[in-house]
Amino acid sequence: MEEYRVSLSQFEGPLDLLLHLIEKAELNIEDIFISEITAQYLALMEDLSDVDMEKASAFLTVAAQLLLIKSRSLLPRPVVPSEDEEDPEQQLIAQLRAYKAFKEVSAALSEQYETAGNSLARLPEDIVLPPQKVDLSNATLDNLIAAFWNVLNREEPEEKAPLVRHVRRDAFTVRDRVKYLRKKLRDGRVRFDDLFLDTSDRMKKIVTFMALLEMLAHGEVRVTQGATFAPIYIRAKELKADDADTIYMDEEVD
Amino acid sequence: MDYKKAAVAECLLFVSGEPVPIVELARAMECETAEVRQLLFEMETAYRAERRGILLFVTDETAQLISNRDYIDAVERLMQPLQKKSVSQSILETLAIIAYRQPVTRAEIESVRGVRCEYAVTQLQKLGLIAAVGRKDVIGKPMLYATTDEFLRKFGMHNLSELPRLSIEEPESGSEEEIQPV
Repeated sequence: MEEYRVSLSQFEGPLDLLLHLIEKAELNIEDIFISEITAQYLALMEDLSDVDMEKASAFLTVAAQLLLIKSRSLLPRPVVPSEDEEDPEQQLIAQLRAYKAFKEVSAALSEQYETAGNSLARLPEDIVLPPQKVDLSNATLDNLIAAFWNVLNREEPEEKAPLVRHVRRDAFTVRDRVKYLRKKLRDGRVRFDDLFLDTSDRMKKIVTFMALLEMLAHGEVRVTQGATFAPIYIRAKELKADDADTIYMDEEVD
Repeated sequence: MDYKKAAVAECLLFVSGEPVPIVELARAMECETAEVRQLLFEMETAYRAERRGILLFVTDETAQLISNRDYIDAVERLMQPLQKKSVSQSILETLAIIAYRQPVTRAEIESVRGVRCEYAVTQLQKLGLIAAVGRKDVIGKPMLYATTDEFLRKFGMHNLSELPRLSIEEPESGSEEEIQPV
């Protein structure tokens, strides 16, 4: 252990590290639990701070598994192992075998990737294709995604804005909403949120808020809030009569 | 081999440059897909036998004309092909697990690798080597991933049966699994 140091960050994860320790000790995977591997693995956990949190938690999970296996081996075992209990030793061995197999083929795949990369292909010419008949019977997901990319990347002249626009008449007026607010406030203070309870219409909410601003500006109401994020309350100060000759922000001035 | 049809297919593949779906070739050649597939297979073998500078590469889905890798040295003397990026170990391992166990969820990949592989999966999708093919009918409806035609071509395989042998017994791939479309 002394003469050679490994760094956790050079491993893909706990299984990669275990395989390395097993190889280094020239052991078979099956012999992992009758060896020093557990102790070596746990000793390396001191360097956990070298790797990121996610990897560290993966290393720790396996450390816990190893400790569980170690502690089980110290206890007397039932003569007949219960069937529904999964043996953590066998589980870890199976996991290591599977991981080792995939690690081996990924090396083989890497070689294949290198050699296949020595074959080159031409880039397609910019040849405009005629519009094609849509036949989705043989479409694969790849084709569909490729087609969708084409649509997304196609440069098209920007559509002209239509010349005729429809302007809808305002359905809500500040005057109406001021009237509504005065009525509500006559009974005492009201929570800000409760002012908007009578509607789910976005425009109506906006006009209600504009009406509230008008009333604040004219000194009709007072706004209080106990603390940051606490509910906001609106109180009547000097409510005016509904037919007062105020001109509101959405009204024409002659 | 029908030389007239082979010539038409060669012409189409030359003009296209990119891998062409075999069904598209069949449409343009006004032939049956099975016939075109058989033709492409014979052409591929013939090109290879003649050690031509241009080879035909046919996967289960697509066909493409590519340069013969044996002559890469000459190509590099003439021009400088783009240096391709090497693929990191974590991405390769993730890809290998998907290739052998597809369709597979991210949680299933992670249980083999023992670490999270969100990043690797995202990268592989960006590289076009894997694609989401559906959702598994279990709690949370996780996405299922599978390798693409691009994967086969980038790794020089005609189909998945050419994957290198895995040293452990694999359970029959998820043929009985319930897959919901994306």
